[in-house]
Amino acid sequence: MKNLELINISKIYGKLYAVNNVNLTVEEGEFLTLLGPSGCGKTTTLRMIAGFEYPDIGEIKYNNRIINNYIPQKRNFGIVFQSYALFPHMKVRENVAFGLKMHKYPREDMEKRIKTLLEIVGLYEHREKYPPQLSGGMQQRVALARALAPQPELILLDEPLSALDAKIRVKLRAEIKQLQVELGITTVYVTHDQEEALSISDRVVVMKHGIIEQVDKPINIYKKPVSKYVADFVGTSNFFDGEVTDSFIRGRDFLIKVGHSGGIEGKATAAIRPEKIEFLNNINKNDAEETNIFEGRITVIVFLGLIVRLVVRIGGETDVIVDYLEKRFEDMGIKRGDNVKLYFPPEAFTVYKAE
Amino acid sequence: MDNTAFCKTELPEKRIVDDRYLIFLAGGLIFLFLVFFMVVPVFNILRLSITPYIEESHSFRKGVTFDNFYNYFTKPSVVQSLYNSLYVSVWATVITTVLAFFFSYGLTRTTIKLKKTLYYMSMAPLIAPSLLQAMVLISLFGANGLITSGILKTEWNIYGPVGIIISEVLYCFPHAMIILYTTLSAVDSRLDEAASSLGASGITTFFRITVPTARYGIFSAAALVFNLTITDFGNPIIIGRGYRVLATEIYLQVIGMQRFDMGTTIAVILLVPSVIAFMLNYYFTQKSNALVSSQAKPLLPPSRPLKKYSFTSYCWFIAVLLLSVIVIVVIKAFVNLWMYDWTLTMKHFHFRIPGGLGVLWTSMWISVFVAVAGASVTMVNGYIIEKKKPFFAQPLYMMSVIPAAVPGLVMGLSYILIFNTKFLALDEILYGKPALIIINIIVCNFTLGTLSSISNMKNIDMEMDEAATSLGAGITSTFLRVIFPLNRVSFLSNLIYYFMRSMVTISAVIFLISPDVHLAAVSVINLEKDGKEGASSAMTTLIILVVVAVISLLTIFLKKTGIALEGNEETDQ
Repeated sequence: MKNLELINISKIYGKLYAVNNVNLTVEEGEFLTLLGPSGCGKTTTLRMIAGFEYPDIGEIKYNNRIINNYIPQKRNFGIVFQSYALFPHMKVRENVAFGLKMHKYPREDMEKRIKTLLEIVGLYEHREKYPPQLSGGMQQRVALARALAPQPELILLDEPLSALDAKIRVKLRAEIKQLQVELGITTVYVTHDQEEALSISDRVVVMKHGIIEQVDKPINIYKKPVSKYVADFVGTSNFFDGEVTDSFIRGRDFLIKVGHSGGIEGKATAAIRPEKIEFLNNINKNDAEETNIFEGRITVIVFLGLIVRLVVRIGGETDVIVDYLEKRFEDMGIKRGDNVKLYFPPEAFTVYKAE
Repeated sequence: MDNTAFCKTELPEKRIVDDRYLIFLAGGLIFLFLVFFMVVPVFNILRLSITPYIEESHSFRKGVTFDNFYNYFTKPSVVQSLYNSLYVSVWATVITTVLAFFFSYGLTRTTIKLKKTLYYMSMAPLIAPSLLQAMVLISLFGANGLITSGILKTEWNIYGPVGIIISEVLYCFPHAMIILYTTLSAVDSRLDEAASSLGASGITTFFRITVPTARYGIFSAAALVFNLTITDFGNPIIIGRGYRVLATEIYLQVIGMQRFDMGTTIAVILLVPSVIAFMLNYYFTQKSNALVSSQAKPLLPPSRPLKKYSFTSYCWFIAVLLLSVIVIVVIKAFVNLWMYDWTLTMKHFHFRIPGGLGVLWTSMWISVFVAVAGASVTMVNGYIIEKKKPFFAQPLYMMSVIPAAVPGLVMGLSYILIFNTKFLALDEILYGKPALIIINIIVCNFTLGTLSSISNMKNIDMEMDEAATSLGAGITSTFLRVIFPLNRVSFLSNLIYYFMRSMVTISAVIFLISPDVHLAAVSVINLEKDGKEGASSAMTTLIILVVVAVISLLTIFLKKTGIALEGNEETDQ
């Protein structure tokens, strides 16, 4: 297997660790996403894989060879940039041909390959145009075709969709995913958009201040975030800070039963996803834990299409976010200002040690 | 999908040189070039200014002394040149800056018509040697001037400080105007609108908002004019007559009296105000650039009639004045004898000077060399400094900026003083040869070339460079196939700039011409001083023609090869 391995990688700017002791293996054919807010080290990590930055500590291995000192041209990794970085003075066709020429690709095969790639991204009829004549989405497709042209071993995408409209973004990310599956090419993707990361990746790496917080499949990242940071960054969570004793968390004005505290005692935070919170009327009241029922008043109702997001004020000053399927919500006939009883199922809580 | 297209065919192995070595090599060579042809000569001149001089043998001897400075400051007739220089420069600076400010204001903040035409008309002085203004002023207001003696029949004439000041104003106008025009277009004019909406009158807005927001541009333009004036040689040598300034004094001491001690000493004295003015100009330009607002400019509301008419007449007056200087020279070139015999003739074009018409050819091919080499080197330099940032990028930048602080005349003098000695045996290759002239002009104009190249490189996304690299392009392919094409507009404008400067410069090369190498611009001075005004006008006309022809050719070429970088965007579906 041609794996990419990052072993104890650090990148230091002055006294700041932009990337701090990162260990990571990307398996052949895998789609791996580096996710995190700006400044978390994800782009620096990608640039070290590409060869534009040199790690100060650690080794980068590809196919069991250390490639730290390989200059970018020698790595043969395709890169798609956030700004597309298409050459504005070359036609679409010439942009795709560029990497082939640089690799001294046999001339007789070149036209065929350009045609194949442009057909894959659906831009063959635009081959004689200059990049500035194309829309953002089309430009990014050209960038993808150009990066794939010289048969890279690995493809690196640096926030490729962030400059596009929301709708195109969703469409194009599905296309990228489909293409990646068909080609079976190893892919490292960088984004700060958690929804994008969850929908496109085989595995997601959540980063914070240059450190890897969690590496897992998208569903586990969402369902079993290992830290408050991940729970907060990926998706939406309600947090309750307090003291944990015997699977109860006690705060200033609440005492909640939490299903499994993972052996954590003392100062801690309990997190619950908005969609896990129920209306008491909708469940079997006999199963409900008395401590986890709260009465509150709806202060905000936001329609988000498939779901409705409510902000419920409980206990005077605590706001809780509750997500509810829109089609079920309609039948309930609730409006802003109504008092409702909420139920927080104990098993829906995850408990984190206070940071 | 066609899966065969993705079967891995083995690509041929490529020999790749690590980019960093090439960058170190190229950057290092440029650095050494500047050390060798700028730092060493200028330090040599500083050294010679404190070296004892033997008057009888016209040579320096070993030792250290301050006698040269003592001699300078104790000779009233000579020390007067410092005062004179400062006097004319201050006046020229104030007048030029004020005139150019109102002109730029008219072009940027009022709705007068034909702004582009006015803009280009005011550029006229740039295409001719900086003695054109003096030549024309003399033919109008000199002892035998058309206006003074021909029409007014007065004894008064323009020689001396007044002549120098007026000719410098005419010469420096476009330099100041370009800076002020840029500043006034860049500063958000909505500030003016905000002020008027708050109840400020037009005059109040102008003095409380417009002028203060443009202040760095104003200071920067003033510093540049001061620098240009105090270092100019052409105009004062023609129109100054007995009125000596530093630049002419250096020339007279060195060429007229073989007093190299005095020459170097005055050169060092001239360096002081020139360097200060340059540093102020640089400082204020940086400040001014920081104020540039990239926001879209609102449309100017139509100016009130009084404002519009006064600015229309003012701007046209200035533009016609600047252009008429050239027209008058062209007329002089074709009439038998200015003022006395207006019949048309071609006789002035038969030059009876060493080299004859050949001096024009020499100037042209030297200028072509300067343009190609200068534009290329400064472009590579800008690329290295702005995009590649090797560890010595900062020192290289400093070195590239310094040449503008050194007056061309001082640089030229420093060259003959070092390259006529047995210094590294270079006298054999360089002394009295065209190569030295070419190098000198490139170095003297290195700053502007590099700065414009840097600012163009800034507009190119770093990812463009990385994209090429990731696709397998080495540094040379990246530069030739991506960076150069993206910079071709700035390359051509640098080409034009270098060609123009090379054709018209006098001060930089006055010391470097030799019996083997004569230049057109310098022969204009000699002809003028010999009283052959027709021939000097004819030569000036030819220089202007060549410059205009080359600019037009390159501009047309640029338009022909230019491809639409802004197209109609397709919309996403």
